Amino acid sequence: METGLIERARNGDVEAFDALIGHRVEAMLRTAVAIIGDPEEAREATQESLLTIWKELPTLRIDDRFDAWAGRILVNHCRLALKRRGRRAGREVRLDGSSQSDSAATAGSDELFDRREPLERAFEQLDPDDRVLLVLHHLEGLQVAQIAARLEIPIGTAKSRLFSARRALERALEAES
Amino acid sequence: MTVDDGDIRSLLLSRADRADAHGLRMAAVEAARATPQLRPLVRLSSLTRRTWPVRAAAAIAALVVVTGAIALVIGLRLSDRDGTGVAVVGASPTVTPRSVPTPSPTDRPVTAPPYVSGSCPVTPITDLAGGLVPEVVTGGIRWRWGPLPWEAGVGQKVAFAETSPDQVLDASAIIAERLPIETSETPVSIRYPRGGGPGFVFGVGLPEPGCWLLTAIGPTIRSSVVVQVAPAPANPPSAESQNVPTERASLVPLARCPTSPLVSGAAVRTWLDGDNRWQDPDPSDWVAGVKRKLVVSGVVSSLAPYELVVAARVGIVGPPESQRSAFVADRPVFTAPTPGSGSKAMELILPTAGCWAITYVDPTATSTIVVEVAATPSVSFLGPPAVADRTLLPSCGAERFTTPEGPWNEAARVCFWDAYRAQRPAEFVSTWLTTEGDPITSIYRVLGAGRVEIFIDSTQDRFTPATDRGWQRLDCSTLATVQSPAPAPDFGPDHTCVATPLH
Repeated sequence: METGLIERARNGDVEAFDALIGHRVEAMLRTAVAIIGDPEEAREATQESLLTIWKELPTLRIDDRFDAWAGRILVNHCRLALKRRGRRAGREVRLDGSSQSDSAATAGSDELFDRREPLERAFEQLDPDDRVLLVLHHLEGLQVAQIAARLEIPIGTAKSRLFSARRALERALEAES
Repeated sequence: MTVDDGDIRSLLLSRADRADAHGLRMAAVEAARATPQLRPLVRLSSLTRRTWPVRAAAAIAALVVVTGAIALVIGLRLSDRDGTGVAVVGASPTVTPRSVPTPSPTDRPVTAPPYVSGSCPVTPITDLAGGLVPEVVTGGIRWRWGPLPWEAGVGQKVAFAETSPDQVLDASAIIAERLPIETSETPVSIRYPRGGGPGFVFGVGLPEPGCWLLTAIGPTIRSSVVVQVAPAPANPPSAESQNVPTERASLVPLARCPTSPLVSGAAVRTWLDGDNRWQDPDPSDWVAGVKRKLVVSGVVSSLAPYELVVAARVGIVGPPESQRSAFVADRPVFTAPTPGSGSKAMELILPTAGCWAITYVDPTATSTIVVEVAATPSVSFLGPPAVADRTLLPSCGAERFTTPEGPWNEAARVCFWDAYRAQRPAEFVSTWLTTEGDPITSIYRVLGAGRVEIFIDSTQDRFTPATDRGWQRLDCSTLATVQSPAPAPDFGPDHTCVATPLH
């Protein structure tokens, strides 16, 4: 069924593309928000990813790898979004000293906020690649080998980077505390 | 300060819960409607996976007599955009050149091998023997084929002979292999006269219409032509007139690679192929899995819109009694030389050791050289003592690759994986270049039953945080495998591995 949709979408069938992405859009957006933090930036990154998927679909040669391929596109757009934000940060300084995602982080009860806020701020200090690794492992539940396949890096590298991402989060949390 | 898994997951779930996907799907679909897709240049409608029918062997008549002949002919399909190609053979009135749309700059495959122009660089026909049979003299070989036009699925008689009586060849064969540029399909269409024969006329059935490269290689010849094949006829000829077997025999390494002779006294390693000069500025031996730069100049360096380099490993097709009679291509490598006039520079990574034919293709001429690529030597490291003084194990070789798809050293990977499964001591070295171009090297070692040791060197990886950069050893009971369509086993450390930093 999916293979048929992919083949049709690859040949320019927009309805097939719609059906193909239908049940994936929300999950993609959730991943993007988890990585980026800001819902609007994440939405923009997801939309760009979906458009890239559409444009590049004719180059996908192995249909079974659609999800890994699409996931890689999403992750790359999230990285780009964060890097763009990093460049903008040099020019856009908020007068109250808070980051854009700080306000979003205040959602939820005060109790949760109290416990999560330092961790949220620590996470916001991570570089894009550390964020991606933690999200893929802890939110999407991917194992190291699957992360390696998703990011197109050797398994050993994925393992060591996941380890260092966690260490980076701990160090950032320590600094926050 | 430590963070447990639950904290991280809880944090990420709370972040993800901010997502509001309302309207996103519709926006994406609308954007898709307004955006054209990128289409690979050489996605061929004719490349459907179809089974080639079993054919009875055709009688192979001798047209040309050469004492003790040899040849290797590889058919490599270069391209055919829509499968509507027809044979282009000199000034023959029976054929018409095919018009192929010129691709736009964005109409290029990202991962497919390079393909520069939309048209087939058919080798110009220099003569029509008997007024009918196309004839080309190139690389010291006189090629003839017929009948015309060459149609897909219909056996052709191809003859070739040396143009110089001084040249003596060894055996005879002809092989065509279906290797479209975008896929690595099962090769088909091989037929060669067992035990040689008095003449050197071979039956070749090219199964698909399009653009094909045929290469003949022998101890003293290296010659290629590009032909174009028309679609299959509406009324195919009888089975007897076709000679397309369905099975490919196993490939046996050549006892001796008929390498192109080197020009003596040249400042750098140089080969001459007719009017073309190939140069390899690197004085070291060419080893598998390592990038190599070549420069070619001469006839092929004209301003040509079609610039493609094809490298194919050659060996002998079994069974053993035919070892002197046939060769075949194996997993070709494609690359594109640097565009422009004058000398053409190109970079090739030949993934396996052995005998390789490298052909430069353009509409003016083809040029072929044959080189021998050595196995990657066992790697020594100036790492920490645990690495530098490690116990020597049987080496499966090494690889150095730049993308997750490789090129991998397939032979080395298969060697190591077999050793791992057999719990036999072995070592394999894999160097990966990160996106930034930094090498990360892993030395995989099977020490015995349930004991795998992996050394990982990230000292040169700028991406790794400085605090984590360095050597580490992983002691593992097993290895993980990645489900991958890659042509070689993909493996790495799993949850059994315990990491220890090395100093």
